[in-house]
Amino acid sequence: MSFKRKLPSSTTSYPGTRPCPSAPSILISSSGIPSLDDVLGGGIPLSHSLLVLSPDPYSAYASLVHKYFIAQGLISSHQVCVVDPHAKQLVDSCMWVRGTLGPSSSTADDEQEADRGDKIKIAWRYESMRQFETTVSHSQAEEEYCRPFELTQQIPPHIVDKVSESGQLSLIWDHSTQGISRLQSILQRIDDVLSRTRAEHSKATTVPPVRISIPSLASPHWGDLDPSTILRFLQSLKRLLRQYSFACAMISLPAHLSRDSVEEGWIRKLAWLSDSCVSFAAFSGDPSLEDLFPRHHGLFHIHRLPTPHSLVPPSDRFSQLRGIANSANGGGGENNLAFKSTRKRLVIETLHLDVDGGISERRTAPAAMSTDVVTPRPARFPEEPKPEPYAQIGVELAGAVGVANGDSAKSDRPKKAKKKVVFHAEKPELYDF
Amino acid sequence: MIPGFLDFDELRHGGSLYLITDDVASPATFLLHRAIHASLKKASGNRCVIVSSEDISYWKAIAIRSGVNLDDCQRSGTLNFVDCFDALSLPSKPFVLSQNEHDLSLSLLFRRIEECLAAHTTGTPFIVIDDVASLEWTGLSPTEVSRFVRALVSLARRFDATIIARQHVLGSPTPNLATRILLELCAVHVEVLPLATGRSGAVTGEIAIHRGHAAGRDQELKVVPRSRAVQYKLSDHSALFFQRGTGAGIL
Repeated sequence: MSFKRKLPSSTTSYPGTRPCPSAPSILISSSGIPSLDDVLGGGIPLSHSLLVLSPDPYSAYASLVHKYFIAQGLISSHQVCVVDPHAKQLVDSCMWVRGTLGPSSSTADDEQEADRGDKIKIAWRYESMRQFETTVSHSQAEEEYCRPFELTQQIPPHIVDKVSESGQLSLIWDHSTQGISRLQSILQRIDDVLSRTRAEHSKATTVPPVRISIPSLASPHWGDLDPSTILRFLQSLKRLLRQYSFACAMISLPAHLSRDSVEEGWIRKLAWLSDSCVSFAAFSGDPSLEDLFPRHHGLFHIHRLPTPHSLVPPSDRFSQLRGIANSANGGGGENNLAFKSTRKRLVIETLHLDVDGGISERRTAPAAMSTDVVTPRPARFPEEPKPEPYAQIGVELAGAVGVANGDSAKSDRPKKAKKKVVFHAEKPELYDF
Repeated sequence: MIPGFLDFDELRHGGSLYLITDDVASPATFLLHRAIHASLKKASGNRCVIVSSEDISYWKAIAIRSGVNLDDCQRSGTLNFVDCFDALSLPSKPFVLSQNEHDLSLSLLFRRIEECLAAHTTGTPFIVIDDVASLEWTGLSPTEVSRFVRALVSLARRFDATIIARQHVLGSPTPNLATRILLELCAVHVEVLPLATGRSGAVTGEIAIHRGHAAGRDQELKVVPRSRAVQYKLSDHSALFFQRGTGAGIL
């Protein structure tokens, strides 16, 4: 007798969405990046917001994540609203899928690219084995949920025109106001879009999800905004999304507002007033970290994870990258995460130390038989004088005379009789180690 | 497992304030739910007032998993939900972001709580304030927030109610004004801490319990210092508590 979980009738999922694994009454939608979906516990829950921070001023990884988010929404026939003064340019530069959907060869291409990049010399017996996996790969079975976008492919212009004319894509901005008034106006427009979508599909069984992208909140184009106003906006947007179970939002702040230096506890405040908060801390501003982690482009930090109708984020149980579910019994910790942007995609993966300097290589004392025969140690000081022989010290004791030198001390203890070896080999030299 | 730990069955009355501080890495939402469910499951006619900026659907979803139907409680009058966000906004402008107009609304929020307490005279009232810190973060002055807190404690004493207030801490060595006021007025301070070594699969966080300034000489209060903090592990709708080092036998 098999039991099936009874799902509420209202969780009929729209294409590109699926029920949340820990709260089936909530739908989740893909961010467009499989590894980011894994970290979030499957995807971005509808009626929730995701704040993506990028504190490095020399890179644009937050903008890249927004392009994935927008592209995934457009290809899944979701409604997409982009709130930015340069929204059109952002949409035109989105990535796209390669030709027709088919078996994705991106994983194999990326592996070859990684191998080409840094070929580690390993023993011949291990060459045929695959490297251990450090990220979640794109599976063909999930292509309906998360499409295999490639950074080398750009969204075709005719698709942008088509979605703009049909109303699937909305570009929101208010040129007539500034500062706080602009924020209020934008919130009102988002509310209008969501209420109109609900009204248009009031008789339908499912409502198409609405994705709201705010790629650069509080950038200089938005005017002068103090931190409390930004926090209030995030809180208002979070409450607005709760009223519409079919909408989700991705927000990013500019680099100077993505750091803790804005005010005391700034990142914590942002995390509290959003449903989820992550940051892509690129190494561009710190050359020492680039040398330390040459295979990655930055560290991925998790500040808060979504908890849709639950006390525990579904990511704790279902995320492979974070590794908490695997370590639950053993009490292990969470994996460190990093990201890299290959030629074709943005990937979040587990961060491990390289062969040199790894835990297995750590030594607290030199090995007993270690001799440096690889390279002769160069003389530190070529003109160092040779060490003079130790002075000979004569020790004269009553009844015993001994000479002590720096090499070894000979004692006058009675010598023990040598043990006799019973076995005598015909060829003793074979057993000389 | 520690039986009866923080089950809020023996809450002190007469305007006692339970202060719960937490961090974004170890949110104390589970303690608020635990207190609410314990209060509403009692047959002695407790009344609960929840003051929160989170939508009520979230509270309902967690409560139903613990066997508490908040819809029924609202209909019977044992539960009042005060939407903090709505109370801070003017009806004509749902997305008020200006600070000036907020100065009016904290008094509106206070009056709404007072109406809820005065609506029913039977049963023991119990007030849960989800988030005091965000009032200050989103533009209200620290002075205004601290006055609101003091007024609320005075209101609770008038109605012989117990308050449970959650305050987010930001990791600073010196607490802000609202936190200092709350620490001064509280009888019990429950501190929810993340693990120092980071997130773990077996343990979610730690809890320490301190005596508040208003506790007086209450000998029944069980203090749990940080050095012997109780650890907990969360599930979807509840928490398990255990002493350090005993998790393997329980989990």
